[in-house]
Amino acid sequence: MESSLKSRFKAIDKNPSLIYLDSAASSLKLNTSLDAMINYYEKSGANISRGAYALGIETTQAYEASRDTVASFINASKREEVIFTKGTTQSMNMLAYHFEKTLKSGDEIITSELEHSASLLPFQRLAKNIGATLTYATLDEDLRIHSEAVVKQISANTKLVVLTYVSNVMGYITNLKPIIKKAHEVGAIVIIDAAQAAPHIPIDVQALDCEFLAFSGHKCFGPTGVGILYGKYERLNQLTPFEVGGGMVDEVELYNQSYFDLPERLEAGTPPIAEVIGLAPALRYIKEVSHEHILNHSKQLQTILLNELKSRPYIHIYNPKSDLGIITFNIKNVHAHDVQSFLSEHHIAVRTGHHCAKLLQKRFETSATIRVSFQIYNNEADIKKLLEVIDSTYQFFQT
Amino acid sequence: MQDLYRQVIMDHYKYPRNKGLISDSKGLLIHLNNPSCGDEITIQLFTKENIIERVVHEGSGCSICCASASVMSVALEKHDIQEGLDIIKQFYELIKGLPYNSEILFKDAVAFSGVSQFPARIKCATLSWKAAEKGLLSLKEASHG
Repeated sequence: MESSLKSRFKAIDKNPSLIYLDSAASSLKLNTSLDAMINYYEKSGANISRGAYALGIETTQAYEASRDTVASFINASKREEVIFTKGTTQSMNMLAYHFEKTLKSGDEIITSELEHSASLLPFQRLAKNIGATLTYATLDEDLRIHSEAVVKQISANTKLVVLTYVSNVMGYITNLKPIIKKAHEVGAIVIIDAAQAAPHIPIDVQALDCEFLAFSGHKCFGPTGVGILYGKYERLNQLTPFEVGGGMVDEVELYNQSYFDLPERLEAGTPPIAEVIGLAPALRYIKEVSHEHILNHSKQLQTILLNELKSRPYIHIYNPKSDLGIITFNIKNVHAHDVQSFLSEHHIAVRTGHHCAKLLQKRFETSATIRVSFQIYNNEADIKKLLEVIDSTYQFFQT
Repeated sequence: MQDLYRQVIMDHYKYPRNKGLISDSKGLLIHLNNPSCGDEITIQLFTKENIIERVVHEGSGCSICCASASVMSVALEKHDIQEGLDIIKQFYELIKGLPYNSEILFKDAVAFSGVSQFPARIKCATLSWKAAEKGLLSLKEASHG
């Protein structure tokens, strides 16, 4: 572990024996993010956009500065196109809530079996509630979203396309551009789950040209409890507010209410102020280190681990062609949770189970898999230790 | 780790007792999932005049889950329904690391005492017992009219 990295993540400093290989679930948190949150709680604690006293104004400025950071992080054309939410799940539910009111029976929604529950469940429920047709994107033989085939699946009937940018289990980067282009030709709206993309690849919403995109702070070295809903201004401003309440209301009469424009319109109630403020240093850090470096580093580790795993006949790898540092595998005839207990005893954190992608797990025809996900704080020594424990676990179950 | 994967447990995992559901029979079927990890188990309870004659099980899961189902199937056999529920209750105490009644819970089930040190595995160890509890409670309720 480079000392400069160690000093940036308190969790590493405080747990010297920790080998954290579960960043796809939640990354470790950057010290400067924690400092920004603590600073807010210690020096202020005031609400935003309410009190006109100095502390209230300073807090509002810090909160809104974070919106600027996010807008720059995803290259949004307007800062008002960035809405703070609880996370990707809430962002997706906000969209499904709106489209349940505007779509009608027989309209088609295209999604995929690679979706995380956050992007699958809201739209699957929407489809069921209104009688919309849910169509699953064609996957290729490696279970990758087959862009060319999806382009052919999109028809005049297609109203929504909801797809993951990067699969949290397979590590595939979806080739979105041709899909988005075709969707727009038929007037369909495109919603992108970028939760796994945000920490690994640069996001440019203008180049992508998607209508909506969501991601979470906690996978980007930032705090839990804060996420982003991006939308093109006109589309976003048309959304039926998922919640109404303080902070977003313009006029209230005895029987009527009207709302502010974006961004307040979609941020009812007191938001997670500390978390929003804490998100900015994390995103700035990713930009400073660069997505390119993060991707290269995780791919380098992925290549080393893949080669090692492939040399072991008792390992089954589900995504040998992953585009980034996510490897999903099993030890043959040993349940993933048994492996996890052995790894955990050696302070190695991996994800086991269905990874919130149950449809994909059905494709694997297994109830649970092991997922290793790399980030910049991982190194070759982590892989060496991981392999030692995998080998000894395999041996244990042979005797 | 030796405390979790004791020899008795590994023996039940490799050579499960009462594994396999019985088709075309009147046994009570109970299916339970562990949503967090995908373990799933179906048990089949055969009772006659308030006595648990046989418990069989089928499912997929980790070694702790599978071995526990095997142990449960042996532990409950030939007891009446209330005794079965008492055994299950004592197993839960054992799993939580709490004092348990060794006159009610004994033999192979005691090998799971180490699970209390591995909170992540408690759900694995108790899944089949929860299925049995659900079945026995429904039988008890039915018999009380």
